[in-house]
Amino acid sequence: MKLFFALTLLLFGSLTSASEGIMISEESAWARATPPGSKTTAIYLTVMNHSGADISLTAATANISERVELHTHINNDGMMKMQQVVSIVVPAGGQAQLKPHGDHIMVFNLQDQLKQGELVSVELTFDNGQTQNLQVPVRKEPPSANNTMDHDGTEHSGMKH
Amino acid sequence: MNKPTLILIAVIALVAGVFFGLRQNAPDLSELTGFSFPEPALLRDVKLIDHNNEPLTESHFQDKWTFIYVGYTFCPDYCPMTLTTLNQTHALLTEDSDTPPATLLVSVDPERDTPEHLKEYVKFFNDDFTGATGSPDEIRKFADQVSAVYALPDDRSDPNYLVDHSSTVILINPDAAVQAVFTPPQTADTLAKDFRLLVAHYQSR
Ligand SMILES: [Cu+2]
Repeated sequence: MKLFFALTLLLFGSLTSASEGIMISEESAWARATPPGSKTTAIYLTVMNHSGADISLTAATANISERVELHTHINNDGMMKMQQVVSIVVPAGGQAQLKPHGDHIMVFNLQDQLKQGELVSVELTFDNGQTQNLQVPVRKEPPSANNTMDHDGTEHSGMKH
Repeated sequence: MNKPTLILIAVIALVAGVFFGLRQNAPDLSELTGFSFPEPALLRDVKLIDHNNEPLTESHFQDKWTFIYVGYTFCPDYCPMTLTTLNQTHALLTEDSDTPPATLLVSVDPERDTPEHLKEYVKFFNDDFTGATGSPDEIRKFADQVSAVYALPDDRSDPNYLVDHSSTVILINPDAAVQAVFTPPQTADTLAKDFRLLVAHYQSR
């Protein structure tokens, strides 16, 4: 039993540097490559919460800019509006997906063009006191193999054809 | 049966055959993901500036199909995501034909999006893409014609201002008329599928 426990710890340790319940899905994380001269980009990733209580992502920093914010999109009568948020909740036993057209880590004042294959150092802070550091790859397209990025129409239910 | 009757029957059969044959070929637009206008309105009095600083008028749209996206380059999410999707759509439709539809980005943010910057921006996604912008009035007139909505903030003193926009993709037919509108989230698969249906429908008229 002790061995099993140790193995479990080892296994989890290799998947994540998490303690206390928060885990980042590494293969979900990406930063958008930028065209020359662009001053903004977004970072996307999936955060999982293996604890029994809600945990909120309260801050993000990245080594590519001084100005990094947590953002969401709202559909304001057919107009897409980007807004800063104080935090993003990761529900107990659930996950928060930061993805195109939804919640994202917003980067302003980019100094250099972000090119496919580069890595961005990101630090995430949670309201349970946890911090997570990860290297996020720069990509031109989302990591999923198919080119359809969002099949669930739920958050777009306000849009009528 | 006499000769005139036989001829009459033959003519009726021919007409019916052609009629039902055409009907069979006319695609079913109820499968569209986007919205197709039953009576596409011609673009009029378009006075934009393309990414080479040349005038872009409604004649730009004649004799080809064009996808239009109305956005701005400072946009970190919807605009690059949609242009990426349009690049994937372009690749899918290049498999069908040597002349895939053209793609045009119209920037509603001329204060920050100079033609030079627009050119760099669109070429990042696809060398065949075109960028355009214009005076605030001309952009508004154009956006109204293609049912695109957007709102620039009144106070643009902070260089990092954001623009709210409908993020729609518009399809212009070879008559330079507004054929269809696609609201987000668009995918390359559905845009390509809708495009094929709409072209078949256009050709069966
Ligand atoms: Cu944002």
